[in-house]
Amino acid sequence: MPRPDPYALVAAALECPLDALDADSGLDREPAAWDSMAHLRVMLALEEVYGIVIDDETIERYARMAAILDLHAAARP
Amino acid sequence: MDPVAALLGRAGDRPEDPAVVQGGLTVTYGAFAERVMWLAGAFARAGEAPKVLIDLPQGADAYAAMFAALMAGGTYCPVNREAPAAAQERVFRAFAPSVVATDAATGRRPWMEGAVLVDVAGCDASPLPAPREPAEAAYVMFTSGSTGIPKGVVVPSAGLAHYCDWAAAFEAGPGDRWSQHPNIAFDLSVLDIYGALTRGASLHPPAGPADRLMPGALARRERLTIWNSVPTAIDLVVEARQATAETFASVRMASFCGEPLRGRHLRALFEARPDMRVQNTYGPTEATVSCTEVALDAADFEALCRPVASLGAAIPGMELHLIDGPDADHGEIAIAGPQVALGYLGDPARTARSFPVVDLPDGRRLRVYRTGDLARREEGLLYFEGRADRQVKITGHRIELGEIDAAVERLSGAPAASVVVNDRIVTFLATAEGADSAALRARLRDALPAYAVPTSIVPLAEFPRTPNDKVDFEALTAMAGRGHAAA
Repeated sequence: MPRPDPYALVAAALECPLDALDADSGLDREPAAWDSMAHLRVMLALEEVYGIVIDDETIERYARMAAILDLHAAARP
Repeated sequence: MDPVAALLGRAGDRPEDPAVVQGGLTVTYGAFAERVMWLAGAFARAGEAPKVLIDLPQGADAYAAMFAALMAGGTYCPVNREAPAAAQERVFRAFAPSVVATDAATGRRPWMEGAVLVDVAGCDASPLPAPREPAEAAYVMFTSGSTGIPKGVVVPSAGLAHYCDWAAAFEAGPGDRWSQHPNIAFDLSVLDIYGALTRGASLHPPAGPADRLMPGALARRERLTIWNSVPTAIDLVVEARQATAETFASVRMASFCGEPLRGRHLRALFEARPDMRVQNTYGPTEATVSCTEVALDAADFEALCRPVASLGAAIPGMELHLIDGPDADHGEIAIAGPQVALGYLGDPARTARSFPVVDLPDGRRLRVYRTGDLARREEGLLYFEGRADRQVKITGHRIELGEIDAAVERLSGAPAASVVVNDRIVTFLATAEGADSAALRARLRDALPAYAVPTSIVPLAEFPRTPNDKVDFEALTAMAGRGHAAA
């Protein structure tokens, strides 16, 4: 099954419009909806779609949209 | 209870028991007490009644520095290391410490002139052989202030001792494993630190971001027996799909404070562990963490959720009166008793306003803390009914909306008025020129804690006004609810 667009994945977790996100988005930056509860939903979605392990290192790394875009690019078949 | 004497007694009786467990590392009671005495010796060199700023991460060193400050007859103030640097500097200047307890990784910050630095790892003082007489004030905690300047709440040693006596009702002891979720600059952490370490239990702070984001995993891994947190922590457990019997298998007691405890939180807990002992508590920093309690159980908690869980009734030794209402069962909560703070640091005018002596219906005159919280009393239990002013709580953090307005006005040059809708802060800006909300929010992150940065900043040509020409916050709240916040 193809993986969803990473922007769509994060927008769904944050319950925000797609155009609220760009590569500079992140936890405690823009959009405001990316708070700790939303970040937990982002991490759970990344675990499900990309099989990442949720730990101290990944929680900090994927607090930035740019890193999620890198993850998606690296995971492409 | 004298917390220092209690700690040293526990360490003497069972020195090999674990005191603090974090990230797989254990500090025993013996080693912890030794560290307390060494640090107390270092703090005591700063003179009588040292004022100790604790600039350390959440963990054993910070807890030891707190006990050491008390042992040295001093007063401590924990720093919120997650706050912007400007906010940390304001706390330093307001508290004016004689000593800063820090570590080699942190060192001296640029604004820390005039204070002696004590490196908790490299401390070379002689241990203080016996505790000094306690200072009048045990600690100072800073909370949001409506003028934009945080308020330093001065908590008396007698209040802390009284609170420790109440915490004994948890019946913690050797073998108990107690959570330590809140940041040490928030006073809910006081219950964990003194509740556990004066009773021989071990304290379990998060080891890193994963433990903070998924507190259920921490509970399961550490086999916690006592859980104390804001209710939002249960939302995180539920969101992570960890509200299971396995997560709470070892938890025999859960205590909540700091924000509304709702039916959904209690349902999640009792579905996982129907026999868990659960209590809700209430109290402002100005009354030493909490001063009410109510027990909730699986059979009858729904009856006490009207619509959120009752705040409970006063704990022994404290009094809660409802004043300035239509009768004795409705009004503003006024708190009296030994846990009431000495006042606000360096602010006698605000102290006089917030801690007045009032006449009670029974004829007594008592010094109280006026909380600004409105409540009703039903069948002896208090139920929260909102605020009399513009203070709000979001995810357990107390925020004066006036502090946000002051910061926005300082950065934008335009009048600001903040409201809260669905736990989101919306700040309106009186300007005909529009506003770059994202840029302003980015600058606010250097001035305010992350939880206080507005979700939206909405320009308005002018604010709606009441007939008395005051900003009409009700109208602004309605506008925010209708979607002006999306601008």
